[in-house]
Amino acid sequence: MDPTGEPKGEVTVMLNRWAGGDASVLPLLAHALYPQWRRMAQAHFHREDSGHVLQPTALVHEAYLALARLRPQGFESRNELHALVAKLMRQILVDHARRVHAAKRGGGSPHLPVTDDLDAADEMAAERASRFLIIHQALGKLEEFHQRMASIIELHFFGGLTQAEIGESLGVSTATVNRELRMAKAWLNSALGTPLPEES
Amino acid sequence: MTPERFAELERIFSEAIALDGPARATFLDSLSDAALRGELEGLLRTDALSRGELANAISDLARTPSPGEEGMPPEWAGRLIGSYRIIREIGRGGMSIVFEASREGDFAQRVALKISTLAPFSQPLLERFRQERRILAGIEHPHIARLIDGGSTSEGLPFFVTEYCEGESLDRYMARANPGLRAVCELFQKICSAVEYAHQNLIVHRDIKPANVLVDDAGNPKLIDFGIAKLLDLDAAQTQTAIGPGTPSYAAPEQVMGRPVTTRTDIYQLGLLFFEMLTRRRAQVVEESSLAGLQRSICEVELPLASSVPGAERLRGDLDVIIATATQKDPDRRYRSVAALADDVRAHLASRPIHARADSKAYRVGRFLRRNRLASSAVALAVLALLTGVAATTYQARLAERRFTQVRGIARALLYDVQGAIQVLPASVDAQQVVVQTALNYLNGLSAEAGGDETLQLEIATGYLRTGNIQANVLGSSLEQRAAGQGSYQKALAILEPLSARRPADAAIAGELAAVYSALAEIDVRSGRSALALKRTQSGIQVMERAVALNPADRPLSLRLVRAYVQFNRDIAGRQQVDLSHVRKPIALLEPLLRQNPDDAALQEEAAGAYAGAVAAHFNAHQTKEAKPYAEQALALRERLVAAQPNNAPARRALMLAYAALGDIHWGFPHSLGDRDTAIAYYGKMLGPAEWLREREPGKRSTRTDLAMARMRYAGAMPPKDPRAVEFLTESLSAMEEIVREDPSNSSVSRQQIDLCLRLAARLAELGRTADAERYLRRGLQVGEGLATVDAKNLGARTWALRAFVALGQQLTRTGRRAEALALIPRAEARAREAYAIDKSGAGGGRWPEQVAAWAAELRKPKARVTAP
Repeated sequence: MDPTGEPKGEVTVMLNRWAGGDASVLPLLAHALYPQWRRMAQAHFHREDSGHVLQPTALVHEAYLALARLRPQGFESRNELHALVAKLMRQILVDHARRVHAAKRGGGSPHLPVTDDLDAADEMAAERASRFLIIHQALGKLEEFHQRMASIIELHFFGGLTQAEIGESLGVSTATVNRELRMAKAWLNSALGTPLPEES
Repeated sequence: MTPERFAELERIFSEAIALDGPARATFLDSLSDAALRGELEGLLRTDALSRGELANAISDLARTPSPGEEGMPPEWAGRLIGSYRIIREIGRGGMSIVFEASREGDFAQRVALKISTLAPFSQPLLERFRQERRILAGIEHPHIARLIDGGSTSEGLPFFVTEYCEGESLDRYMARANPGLRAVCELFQKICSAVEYAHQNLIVHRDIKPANVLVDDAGNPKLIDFGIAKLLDLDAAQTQTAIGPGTPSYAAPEQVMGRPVTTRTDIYQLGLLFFEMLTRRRAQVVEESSLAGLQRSICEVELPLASSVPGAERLRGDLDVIIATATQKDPDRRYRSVAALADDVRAHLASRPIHARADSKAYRVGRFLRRNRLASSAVALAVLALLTGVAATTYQARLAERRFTQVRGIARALLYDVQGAIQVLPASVDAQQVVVQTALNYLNGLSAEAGGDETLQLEIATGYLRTGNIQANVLGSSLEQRAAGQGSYQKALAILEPLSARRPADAAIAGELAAVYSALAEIDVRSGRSALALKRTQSGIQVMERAVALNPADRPLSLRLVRAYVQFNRDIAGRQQVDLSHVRKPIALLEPLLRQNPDDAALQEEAAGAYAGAVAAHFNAHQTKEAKPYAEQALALRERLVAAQPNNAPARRALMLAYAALGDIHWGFPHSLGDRDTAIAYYGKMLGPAEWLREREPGKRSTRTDLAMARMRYAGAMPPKDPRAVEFLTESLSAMEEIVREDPSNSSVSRQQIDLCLRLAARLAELGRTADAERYLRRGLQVGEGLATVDAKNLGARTWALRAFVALGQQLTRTGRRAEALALIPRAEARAREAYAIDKSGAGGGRWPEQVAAWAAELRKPKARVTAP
């Protein structure tokens, strides 16, 4: 028990315990933060025509599994943990895109029944995967030029955080977040206009 | 591009976006580097378009299904989960993966190991799992796959181990073996026997569907995943996914609406299963894209008749009726048990008339009645009797039987389902309020028709009592809930009092009646009506003393009497005449029992309560020396109980209160023993359990008030100028203020808030911080006045408001602001008159007019001014 009797945030206490190597606290921690992560994942399914009730859950779940396989590490705040989860979600989507892309290029599953519809769906899937991978690459480039701008993009698009939350997380003003997000978006959108490079 | 060049680009981009139109053109023209200018223009173009391309690209990809089955990356093969080694994957669903596994070191024992991938295991879930595992493991039935073990993986995912069953899922079996109609009915009856057995053991499956039924080569079914959906559901409820872990196509209306799941939920799913077995079509077509759509498609769209499926015309008649009865949207209209469903299937096979058929017209009329808002089904049934012209005598018999089933069902639901659910799911209060309302509707309808049937009357009264308990104790601390609870108790009282007068020796009636008196007394105490509470408790004691004398060997009844004595002893505070005649009675009843069963924790618990009651009685009668040995005995028992059950939260809380009582005996009250150091030691010990409780359940309000109260007591005993006391009291007060902000109608917290203000003010005045002292006094007065205004019958609120008036008046006089002090007098006098009107006793409200008069005279007295010589 804390000898000063000072009430501490439950999440902070759990973060500290995790940082101290207590892996058993992670499920509790995840449980406390799941609603937020779900919201983060939900950001990827923002369009109303999304017909997939369970997918955000699956994404959160995969992010959680990835997190559970990392070594316990120290965080200053829940924001830092959210940033890591955002990074993991991005990585999961990248892996997903690579699998979709690879399937189209011949590595796909042989037992799928072949119909015109499915071919068309496949075509669209590959197209989407490519577009995503271009963004991913451009984001990698942006990281080289301006680390913080890349982080802002990651937290905004993959973490679903608001600009104020991003500012708090990175220790900069909301105005800075707003300006740099605008520049980064413009820059990435320009990159999207360039032709598709082959994934190696 | 280089980072330097990118930085330059960023700089000019920022400048450019701050400008518009011609100013921006001028700025662009001023750039000397043409390539840089070109890049900037490109950026400004995409910026102006702001097409949302990025978000779309991400969301498109996220919504693209994975190719093939290689979706989930984790490598499970060969892993050791708990003490089981994974052999191979045998199935995978949206929320779980199932493996064949073997116990480590015992390769021959094959098990099925299911890992839930829905969410990590939470602490409450784990605890509930431990509790239920024993029950689930006790389920042994030839058609149920037995649960062997469970726990959480190293990633914290729940897993369940069951016996490994050879066979294929029901839908595959049906498609391959293509059994005939009779064989299908027989297979279905075996499935029903498994579900019925589980229901007898109070386990509901909640997720019956073809994938959860395995059929072996001999055509014998095994149900898998019994009780597991319920374990996972807690988690779903906490993370606000209303759909829960079930399978939407097989969900019952109550499941998608978040209403209580009961055995009738399984009956609904059995109906869907039977439909699918007979027609090879899924009965329920759901729209999954949104929760609202899902609810609509399950709750509003009528299921097709089985015989309407092409090729299934021969099902017209009994089988249509059986399925339609099982799958009624309203759980009350389904078969009341799996046995009744299976009976009808059996009757159909034997060409006997089925039971549901007799009611089919009733169902149609029932739907009509429901549309016309006749809420009580008892009333609906009575109307039905007229409409359908069923012969009166047989109808009466059925009506009585139905009533019984309904009341029993409600009582059981209230006892197990609702109360249990509320305790684990604090977020579900709204849903539970609906259930309580439904229960009341039934009870009101039934009590109107109970007539002279005493057994039925008793059951109805018990129903009201339990409903009242939920309203008053579980649903909330607000005034409205308490008043609603009181209403239910009064209804129980109106039935039980005449019943008990007719049958004084009936222990069951006496027990229920005493419980009602005790519950009403509890409410009276909390509402500040202690005199009335006392009368109620005495009535309860009389009823039970009579019953115990007639049933001396009835231990539960004796224990109830013990509790009534204890309550009486606790309520002695504020009484006109202190009656200590009951102090030793509960102890005298308990001590022989405890001698026979020295390690019986329940008896220890009762005894500790009895000692604590004796402490309260003697202490309130200012017999502090007599109180002390009882307090020490109570503490010794409390320490034993906590040692035996270190994780039991109520036991910790009782220990904290035992320390508090011993602290009070030593210091802080006019009749305390005056031993400050011992009191500080006891009060200091309160912090241990209080902090433990706070840490364990930080969101729970009572853990916050308890800690605040412990700190308040600890600080209260510290010497007047100890600065730590101000610190503790300030912390306590801010905790209380926070709670009041969340729940403004909670009057008991408001009283503690005033108490804290007064204590803080006294300390601050002692330290010379007069301005701060006055501020807290004014705050205390404001809270007290607010409370007194809201609740016109609350004596406690007036008492505290008056204390604040007195303290503030004195403080103002001390600081030379007599005019302000005098201005308080009329308001205080008005409150004193109200207190007197509520309770004229000298120890209650009766003392206030006099005390306020004395205080006012003191304020008015021209004081010898304390001036510098």
